[in-house]
Amino acid sequence: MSRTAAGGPAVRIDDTFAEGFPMRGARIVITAATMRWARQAGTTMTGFATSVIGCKCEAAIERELPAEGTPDGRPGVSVLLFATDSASLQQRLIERIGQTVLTCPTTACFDGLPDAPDRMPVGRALRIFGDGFQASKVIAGRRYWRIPVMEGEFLVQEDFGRVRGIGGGNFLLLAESADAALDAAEAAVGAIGERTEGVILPFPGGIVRSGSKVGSRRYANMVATTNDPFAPTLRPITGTALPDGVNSVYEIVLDGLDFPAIAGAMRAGIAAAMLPGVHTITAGNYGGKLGPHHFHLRRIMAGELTP
Amino acid sequence: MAPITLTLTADLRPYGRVAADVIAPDRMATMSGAELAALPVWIARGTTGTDAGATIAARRTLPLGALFTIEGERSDVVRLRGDLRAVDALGAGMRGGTLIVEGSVGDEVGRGMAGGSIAVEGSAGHDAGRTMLGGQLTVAGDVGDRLGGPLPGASRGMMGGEIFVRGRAGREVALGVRRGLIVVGGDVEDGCGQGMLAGTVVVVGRAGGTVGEWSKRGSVIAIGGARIPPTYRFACTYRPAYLRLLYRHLRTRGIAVPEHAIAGRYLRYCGDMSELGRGEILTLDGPGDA
Repeated sequence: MSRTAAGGPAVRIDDTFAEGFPMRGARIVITAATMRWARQAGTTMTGFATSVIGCKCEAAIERELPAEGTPDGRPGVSVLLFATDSASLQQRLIERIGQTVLTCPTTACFDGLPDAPDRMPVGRALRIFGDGFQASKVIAGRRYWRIPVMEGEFLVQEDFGRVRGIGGGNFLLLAESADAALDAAEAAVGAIGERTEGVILPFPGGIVRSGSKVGSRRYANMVATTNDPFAPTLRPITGTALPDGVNSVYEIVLDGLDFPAIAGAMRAGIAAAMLPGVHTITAGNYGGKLGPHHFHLRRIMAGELTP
Repeated sequence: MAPITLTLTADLRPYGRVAADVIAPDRMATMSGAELAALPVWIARGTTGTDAGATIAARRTLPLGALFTIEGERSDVVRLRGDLRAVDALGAGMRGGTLIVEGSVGDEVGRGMAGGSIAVEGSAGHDAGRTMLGGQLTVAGDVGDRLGGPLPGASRGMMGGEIFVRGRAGREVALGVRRGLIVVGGDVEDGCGQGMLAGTVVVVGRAGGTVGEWSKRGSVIAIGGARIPPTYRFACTYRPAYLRLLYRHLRTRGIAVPEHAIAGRYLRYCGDMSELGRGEILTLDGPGDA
């Protein structure tokens, strides 16, 4: 199947699927006196959170929030954070909010999934930083903790919602050159960021240059190693998956709160990535053995955004 | 389902004060019209009135139907009409439903209520929201003394829920409050926040006289200023993050919080030092960017 963007080049879309797997997710709303500090807290909180393989969680800023869209009427950001299980998600939130949001000037921290029935007592755990001087307030039926700090007070909601999310959405951009691949990847990231909610791209700038395969050919202790079938420098010495004319590949990895959010983001990203120099768009899977969520590229591009 | 409408038709003057704690929407929700009409209403005295020609001198209760015209049945929305200033304890102990009063009410409205909502479109007497446990009580006009307070001789007042008064309040607002939120849109008289165990009081106007004496962990936010007792100590000037959240909530409840109160800095005083000292009084220092 070849498609073209309006007036653009023909780009092959493989008849394959990205294989997503279940994760547990949370949305954290961080507000601050200015967008600069909200963004700073969000950036710091989501640092070193690209992959559960090495970071224990995957996280990124979902979007920026205008003052009128936050609980306390200050500018903010929403962050999505995913982990492999419920207990890990709660622990990651306690660690990251405690070390990166509590410490950041002027911030306050709120739950972004108020309707989720499954709750994690994150603020309740963080409150003891106040060493007995903390105090709580119940406002509109929800409890918040006031933790005294040197600046004044840090306000954090007592509990945060936890939902079943999906990790591992992905598509790969196979291009004639590294420049063309990067242009396409940047366009995809831009389109996803502008148009979607409930999805994050946890890798640097939303782009992965070092896609991995499960395990290792040589090192027994390695959980993941380079995806050699897609490494162009190994074309003649490995079982390559690259068509002729492809010299560079980038991957876009997506985590989301539900299937339609990821599928919609993939559709927007793939459509934006069909630029000159892009040869093929494909996806990574493990033959359906890794996870139950299958994002078929051609169905998504045909508008099927539900399982 | 149409609401139950109770219209006061009797002249209450012969009876003195009337205790109508049977008027609670959750308990009325399953009752037929006949059952509603038979509900007993306590009267303070019954010396001169008549009920359908019979002398009622010996009675201490009257059926609800003898005082009110009742329309509708089996609804958890109850609407009250008439001059109810001599009618006390409306909505007492209610756990759900909606009670709407088109006018002013007597004392103890919402006493011990644990859920649902009461909206008084006029003013309320003394002891409104006394020992309240939950739900929401809104008074569009003024209220009397001891808003959200305890029963006589008890140490604990309101233990949950929210009270919003758009007008003024009398003495001893939030006396002995354990939990919950009390908001007064106008001024309050002497003794606000006295003996609070915890909870929050917001006075958009000025808190008169002494404030927060013997409070353990309560918060009194006096936007219009307050006289700080000598048993409180100044801590700092800052912008409490929770106030922005709280004020946004108050605006959704019809309380006119001025913009400068949202953006401004507050003086924080800790006290009462004769108790735990974990309480606070916050007064607006004025708008500013410093």
